[in-house]
Amino acid sequence: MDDLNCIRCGLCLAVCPTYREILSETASPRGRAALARKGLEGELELSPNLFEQMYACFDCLACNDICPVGIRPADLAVEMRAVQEQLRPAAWKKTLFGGLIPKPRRMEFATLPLRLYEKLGLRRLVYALGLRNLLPRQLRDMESMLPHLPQRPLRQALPEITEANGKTRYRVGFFLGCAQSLLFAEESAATLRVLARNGCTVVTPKATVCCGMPALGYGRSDLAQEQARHNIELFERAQVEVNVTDCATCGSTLKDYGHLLADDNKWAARAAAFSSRVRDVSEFLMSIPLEKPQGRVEARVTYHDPCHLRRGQGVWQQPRALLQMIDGLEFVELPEADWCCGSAGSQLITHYETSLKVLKRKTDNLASTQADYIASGCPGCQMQLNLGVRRQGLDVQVVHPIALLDRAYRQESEVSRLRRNQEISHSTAKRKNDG
Amino acid sequence: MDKNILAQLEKITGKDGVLSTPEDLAVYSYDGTFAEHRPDAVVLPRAGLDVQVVHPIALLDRAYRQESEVSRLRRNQEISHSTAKRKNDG
Repeated sequence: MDDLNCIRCGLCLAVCPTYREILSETASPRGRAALARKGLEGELELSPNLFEQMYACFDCLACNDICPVGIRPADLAVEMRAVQEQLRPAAWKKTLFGGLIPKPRRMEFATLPLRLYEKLGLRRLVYALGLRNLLPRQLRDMESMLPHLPQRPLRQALPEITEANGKTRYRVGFFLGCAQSLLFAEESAATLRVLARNGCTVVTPKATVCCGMPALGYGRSDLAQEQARHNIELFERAQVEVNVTDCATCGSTLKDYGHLLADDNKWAARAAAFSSRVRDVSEFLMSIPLEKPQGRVEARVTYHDPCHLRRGQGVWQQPRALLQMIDGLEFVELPEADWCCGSAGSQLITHYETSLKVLKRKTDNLASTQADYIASGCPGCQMQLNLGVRRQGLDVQVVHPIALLDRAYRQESEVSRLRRNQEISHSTAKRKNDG
Repeated sequence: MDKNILAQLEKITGKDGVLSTPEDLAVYSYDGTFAEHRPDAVVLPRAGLDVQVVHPIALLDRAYRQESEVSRLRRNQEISHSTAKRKNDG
């Protein structure tokens, strides 16, 4: 592994969210690289505590970017998790990442209680009666992460093909992520409306499974590879020009399929071709002649860079440019916008205290912007930001950038309806006067 | 390292301020050079006062260890003396 040749300069310490909160070498990228090397070279036992240090990494990729010799400590931490699975495979991981998460129907069934909690009004009751405060602290925080939940998963509600409004200019495949379908359905519905509005006929393969990131993050690259093969085949059949997604995590994983299957002779070329066609929705929209919305959204907005969009995909200008297209929207840059929010998938569950400390830094920065909205195109970040906003009592709404663009388009039809009404009343009045 | 010494250090800096697992010691065994030396414990003082108190304890630990080194040497010496004496007597 070339990743082990760390020169110990320590640049990575300055950008590591866990090191900045814990201030211990063990919680730093340089420390993790040293542990990996000593463990693999037999100088140190490959103990549970050694692997725990690899799980303590938030995989925000900041160390990968700053390393002057090209070591990728964040990738190394994830690779070490795979080493642990080879040495001591955990049965629960196979059940969770092989038997539940990549099965859309099972996931929809497993999350049914959450939807009922919202649909039956229990959630409103819990808040109104203050019952939330009776929950243990961590459970209460997990509840706070939840967005307004959809009545049913978007996968069930969406048609397989969404026709373009007017002439089809692009045939686009839409990768509907699990979290988007189950938790942020309205946002992905907005993505489809915006794509259709801009001349895209959108194919959403219903049999899409999880992108594979959860399995990869827990050291089961074998399961992620299975999921990748399934998804590639589906999108090949859809015969689309680009594969668009509105989830930063899915996008970065899909773009990495070429690398994930590089050693598989049968799939390497197909995976590379698939990955080359993947675009984040903001990236795609800014690459086509995008219609400027005529509607206005009067608000102050800021933007948080999801790690897997900015560093994972190099997409950071496009979402900002997209927001700045909307009239009435005042864009204000968030201090340390690309600093991790502390979500990192499941860190609020597995590393609760550190996750909260990292989040606090983000929400302090957010408070300084006095924004009405914070936009971010990642369901994990959005959930973590929801928690931060609630914990700090901020009057800020967390949204996907596309949701604001969609709102501007919809305002536009409202504006034109009002204009039309005005014109009709003017002409009626004129006729009366003429009569 | 002696558990009593670790406990004393923890009293000053808090539990989080004293690191002694093999993994912690391994990552504090290097600096920017390629020379390595593994410590017996790592103390993360939070304030100047912590350093003032921790330092004498660390010195005390060294003194204890030197003391035991001295007694080990003495014991060895005594053994070799008595062995030599037995040989001479024999």
